[in-house]
Amino acid sequence: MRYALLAAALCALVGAAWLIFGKPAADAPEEKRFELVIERGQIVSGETTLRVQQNDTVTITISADEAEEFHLHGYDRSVDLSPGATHKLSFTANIAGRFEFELEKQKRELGALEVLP
Amino acid sequence: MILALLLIGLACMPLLVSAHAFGASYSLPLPTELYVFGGSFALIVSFVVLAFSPHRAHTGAAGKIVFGIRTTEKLVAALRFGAVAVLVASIVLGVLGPEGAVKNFAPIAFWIYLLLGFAYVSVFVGGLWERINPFAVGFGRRTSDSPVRKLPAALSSIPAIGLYALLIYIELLTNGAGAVPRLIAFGLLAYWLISAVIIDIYGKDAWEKQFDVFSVLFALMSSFAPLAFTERGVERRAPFSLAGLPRVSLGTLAFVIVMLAFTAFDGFKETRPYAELMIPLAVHIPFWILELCAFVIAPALFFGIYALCIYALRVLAKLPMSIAELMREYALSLLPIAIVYHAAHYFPLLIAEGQRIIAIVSDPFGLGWNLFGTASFVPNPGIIGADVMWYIQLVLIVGGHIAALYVSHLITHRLIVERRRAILAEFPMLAVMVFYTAFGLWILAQPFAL
Repeated sequence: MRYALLAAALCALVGAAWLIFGKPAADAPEEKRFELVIERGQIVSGETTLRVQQNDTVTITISADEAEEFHLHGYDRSVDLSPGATHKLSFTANIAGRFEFELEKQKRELGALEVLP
Repeated sequence: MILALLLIGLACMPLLVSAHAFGASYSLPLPTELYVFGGSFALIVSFVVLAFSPHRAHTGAAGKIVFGIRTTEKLVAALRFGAVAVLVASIVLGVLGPEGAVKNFAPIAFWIYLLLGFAYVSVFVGGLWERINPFAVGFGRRTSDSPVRKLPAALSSIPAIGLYALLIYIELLTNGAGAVPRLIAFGLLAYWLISAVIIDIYGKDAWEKQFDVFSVLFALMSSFAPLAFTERGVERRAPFSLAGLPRVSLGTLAFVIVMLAFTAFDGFKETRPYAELMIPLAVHIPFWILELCAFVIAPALFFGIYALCIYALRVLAKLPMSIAELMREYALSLLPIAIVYHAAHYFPLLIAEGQRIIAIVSDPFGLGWNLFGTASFVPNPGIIGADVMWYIQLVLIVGGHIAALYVSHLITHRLIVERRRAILAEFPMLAVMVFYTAFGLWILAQPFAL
């Protein structure tokens, strides 16, 4: 089998897949809000997987029972948490992918933000 | 072996660092429709490959010199110097550099650029590692002078496989302990010293073929490389040709199975189905025991499926060879699938984490330097779009399937002359490859746990 034939087969695969499943017209960006309540290092209220579309504006409201740092990987966004207070993290989800968020001091993974292209 | 004891001790330690010490790929699960489409395409193309492929590899421009020996020698000398420099830097900076895995040179150099980056280079260029291997620089003696100092041939590359399994165990199941810079530095230093002792006793040939996990891994990855470093320079090789490949050993078979199984295990353990399977069991059995069992069962399962396929092939084609012999004969047909499993799963990680080297080289000791003006560089997780990555993974898995099927086809026609028996023999291998390909796509399409 020549490399050219293999390359042709794979181009046919990508071309066909793109034609059938390729990007539809992008929806207008929306504002998505999520509320998370963290107790004893876990999310007790709110979703662990937050799903948004690319370019949506995301606001995550977080409350926790201890002093910690909420860190969103990939976007590298952080907010300091303190007990009894509510904190907000707002940004535009301009990068598609799956980005985990965690309590930074404990290095405890809480969940993930999935930004769909 | 001191290194093995060191690594085993490391693996048994309680949590040293976060579950998050190192390595995020940011890739999304493959959409279901792409997974189904890819699997269907692979199945259809399979029949085309079997129906129309020639029975011998196309030799084309095989043997043609791309770069002559003079150019190659200079290139190899420069690369060898670079390899030794990287090894020394990894040891020094692993000890003296920043403690965080994502800011230290050693974890990036070892886990990302050596085990991933160089592995993928080896897929395209063979014979390079044996010429630049930094662990063997300065050791010229290929064989041992003593007739007593011979390793049993039956031992094959089992020591290298054991070390590979240990490396993967440390990577997957020790909660990031394998990314601790100082441990990597001491591990590399110990490996270097032990390698020197083994080479001195048994010679470089035996060390490369039986002990050095990197030599065995990269040689395997380069089995079908289109280019190869030889005594004449850099030569072209026939695509997927079996000619010139050494006889497949038990060690080669085991290494291919282990590579395939552990990559699949790594992908599967991050998915929701894995969590749904393990969490109820974890009520009764400690989770680390469950994961260890799964880690051991994975290669056994893949081996069992392959053995079953070979048994069916032997019965259908009425072959006189033993099952063990046939399993060795067909081992290389699994290699393209093992390689693309590896690449589809880890290529996003290479792209995401490999960028960190740009900042690290400007401030290798974490002292606030800015040697090349890149100290404040922040990796871009979207450097390759998530949807583009889906198509890359799809192309890799399906491409590996096609290549694997073609290699299996060549092996079949090398073993069986009679056409009818050869056609019958193709079906069991087709079935196992469709299974592995579909399973690889399925893993990529699963939602993540959490």
